[in-house]
Amino acid sequence: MLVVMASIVSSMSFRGEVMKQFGYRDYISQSKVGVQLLKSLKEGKLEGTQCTKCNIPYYPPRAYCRECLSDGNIIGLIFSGKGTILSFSEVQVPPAGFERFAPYTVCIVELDEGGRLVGWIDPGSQSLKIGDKVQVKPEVIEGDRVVYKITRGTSPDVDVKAEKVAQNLVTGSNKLQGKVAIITGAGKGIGREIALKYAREGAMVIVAARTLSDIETVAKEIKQSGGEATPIICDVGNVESVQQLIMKTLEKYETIDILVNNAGISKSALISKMTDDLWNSVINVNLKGTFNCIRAVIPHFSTKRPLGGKIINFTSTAAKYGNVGQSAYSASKWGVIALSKSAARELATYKVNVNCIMPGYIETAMTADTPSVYKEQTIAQIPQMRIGYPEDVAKVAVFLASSDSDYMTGSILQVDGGLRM
Amino acid sequence: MKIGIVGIGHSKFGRRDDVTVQELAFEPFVEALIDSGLQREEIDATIIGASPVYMTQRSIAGPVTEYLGLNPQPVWLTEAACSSSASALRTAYALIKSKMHNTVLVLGVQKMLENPTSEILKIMGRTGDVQWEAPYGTTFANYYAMYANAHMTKYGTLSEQLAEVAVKNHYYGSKNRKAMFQKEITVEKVLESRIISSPLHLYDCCANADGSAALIVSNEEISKKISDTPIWVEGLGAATAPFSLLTRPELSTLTSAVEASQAAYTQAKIDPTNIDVAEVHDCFTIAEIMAYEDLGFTERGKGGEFVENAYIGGKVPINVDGGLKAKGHPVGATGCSQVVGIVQQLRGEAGQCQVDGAEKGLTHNVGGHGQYCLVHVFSR
Ligand SMILES: CC(C)(COP(=O)(O)OP(=O)(O)OC[C@H]1O[C@@H](n2cnc3c(N)ncnc32)[C@H](O)[C@@H]1OP(=O)(O)O)[C@@H](O)C(=O)NCCC(=O)NCCS
Repeated sequence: MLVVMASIVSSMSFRGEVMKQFGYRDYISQSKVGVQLLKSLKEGKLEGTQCTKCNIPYYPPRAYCRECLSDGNIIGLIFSGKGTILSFSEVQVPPAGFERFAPYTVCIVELDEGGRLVGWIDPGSQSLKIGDKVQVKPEVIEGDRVVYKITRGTSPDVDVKAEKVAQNLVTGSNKLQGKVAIITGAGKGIGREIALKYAREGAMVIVAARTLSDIETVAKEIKQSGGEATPIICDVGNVESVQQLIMKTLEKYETIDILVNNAGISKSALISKMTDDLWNSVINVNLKGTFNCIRAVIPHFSTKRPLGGKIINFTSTAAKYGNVGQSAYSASKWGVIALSKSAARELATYKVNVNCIMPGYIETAMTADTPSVYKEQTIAQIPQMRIGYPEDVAKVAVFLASSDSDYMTGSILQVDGGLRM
Repeated sequence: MKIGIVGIGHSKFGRRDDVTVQELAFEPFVEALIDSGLQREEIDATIIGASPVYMTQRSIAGPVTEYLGLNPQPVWLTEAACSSSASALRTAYALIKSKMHNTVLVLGVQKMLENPTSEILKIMGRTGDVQWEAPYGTTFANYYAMYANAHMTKYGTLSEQLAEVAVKNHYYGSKNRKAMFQKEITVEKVLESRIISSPLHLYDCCANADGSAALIVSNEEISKKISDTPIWVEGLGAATAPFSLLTRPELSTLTSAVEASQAAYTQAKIDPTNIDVAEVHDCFTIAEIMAYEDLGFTERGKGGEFVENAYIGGKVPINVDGGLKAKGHPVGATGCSQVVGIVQQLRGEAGQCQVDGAEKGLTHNVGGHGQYCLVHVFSR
């Protein structure tokens, strides 16, 4: 079954933004019907109203029945979630305030239950036809804003999604609602934590790594808590494998919004004893692997509509300070910084932000086998006096993937408790 | 009592940075006054048709009439988006019919280009639903593009047929010295021009403009006394449709236009076959094609094939002054501009674009993206 999710997005963080910018009142939550709508939406239902006397459904919701002119019989209505494209058009010359979104495709959807709504279809209007079937889900963002999400196709898991929306309301703030995120090295450690956190924020997560059992476990964990995840095997050091990853993601979700290049290895040896193989393998995964993934996703980012994306790369405090025995590792991680800055410049026109996270000493499998003396010594140097946890890094990764960091690109966020200021 | 049009005036449409809104209003006013032979004092009231949201000067009715020297006679504004000045004519008709006033100046005046295009699109976009539609960056081109898409899908209408409308209107616009664009274009040029909102190209769109047009309207007695060629208002139809697309019954037709035209035909006791010349609201090429059908000039779905019948010599010559497409569309002035075109035709004063022996003419002025429509029928 082909689940085509988030291909038509009437992104409502966007709507919220525009409303603020234009000074529009958020009618939905402030109008007469708003309070009731919000309530039923939070229960995972809705939206629209119905006059129980005249039996007329209203999408968009009305406070007064057009027939009996009374507000006494109006009730909130459960949302059917299915509809048909009535018409659409791609806007290339936008009104003021919408320049950065153009081109975007506006569509009118006729709901099976009656009533219509207007939203955005992404990516573009390509291969879209009047009469195509879509699904629509109302969502709440920022706690009190109601948004539409329009999805191409009719997959049977509509109701599951409704539940998920409801659950996310409780557990996350939905900062990444509807986004498709690829996380490499997501089988364990920081990558795993990012995958879990992104899913809680409403993203559809591609859990990518080399070991199938690891990524299956993570994906299962996400699904059990009501999120959406797909495990895909990938070795970032292998160009073909990376291409497969991007292709499979697009096949399934039709878009990619976020790429987290978290996969990395650490192999230590003093320079005098470092073999070519060891040097090459570290560079090939950490630096070339990050490059492979970025290069593979650019064709998508350059044609995606509306434009926009987030790339998050992983460097290390070892890059900044060097480390005995870690010449290959720290060189690769310094390389990632330079790569990121170049990518940030190249991809700015596609509205893609490229930023780095620079973790310090984080408790993961990778750092687990450091000798305890070294561990203690390092912690002693950390002003915050504790080791970092994957959770500390994942929070910053959410920030860099969300619209909160839209005006940041080419920057490095150090997450190290102050270790290497 | 019949109501007659006894004076007409028309400014140059286009970018009019050279004048204030008062000066812009003055241009057609003086033409119309001289045309009618009346004195200023004989004008009992003025109705301004304009969309005030584009203009720096607010509540323009007052400043304009002061400038025209029409104090202390009453004046007020009617607003119905792009059909503001057709609505003003309707108001004037009712005033004279009710004998409240005998002679009324109807003046459509609009400055738009004080704003950059993106601002205009934003302001205009808010004529659509600001709650459910405008937050998605809808523009008027976008609305009409969705109509076009619906029409194309339902009836097989082609981009080339849309382009033919632009070619026709630019052809006639090239002969109208008051038009914004006086150059001919080709189908290829239309199809090569950049997409504004798919499937509409630049040359499928009318242009935002500054401009003004004036009509002096009188009761039957005065009309007959002062004019050898009064043009009579025979039928006035006006109708509305839901302003939000979410509640529009149909996307490939404007129901307001269908209803307004039927009302106008009924009052004038004619049918579409009696119309010799028409001015329709071609804000986008698809709008003219829909108008052919909505007004009953051709069958539903056949609008795309009708264009060749809309040339002089064809079944119903349409927009033979260039239409909104070539004249430009200063929203509040367009309704009056259309009437000026028809009055010239019925008087036989249309020069090289004269439709020989035209006796009955029609104007079709749409406001918003179809929420308002006014159709007027005139005769010699
Ligand atoms: C289509 C539109 C967006 C183009 O505006 P724009 O991008 O600012 O275009 P510009 O002003 O930069 O014009 C570029 C060129 O095309 C010409 N042009 C602009 N609009 C044109 C039009 N509609 N038809 C023909 N030529 C046009 C200009 O004269 C200019 O030519 P030049 O370079 O020789 O001077 C604008 O004309 C528009 O908004 N039209 C629709 C108006 C509308 O919706 N009205 C209400 C309908 S009810």
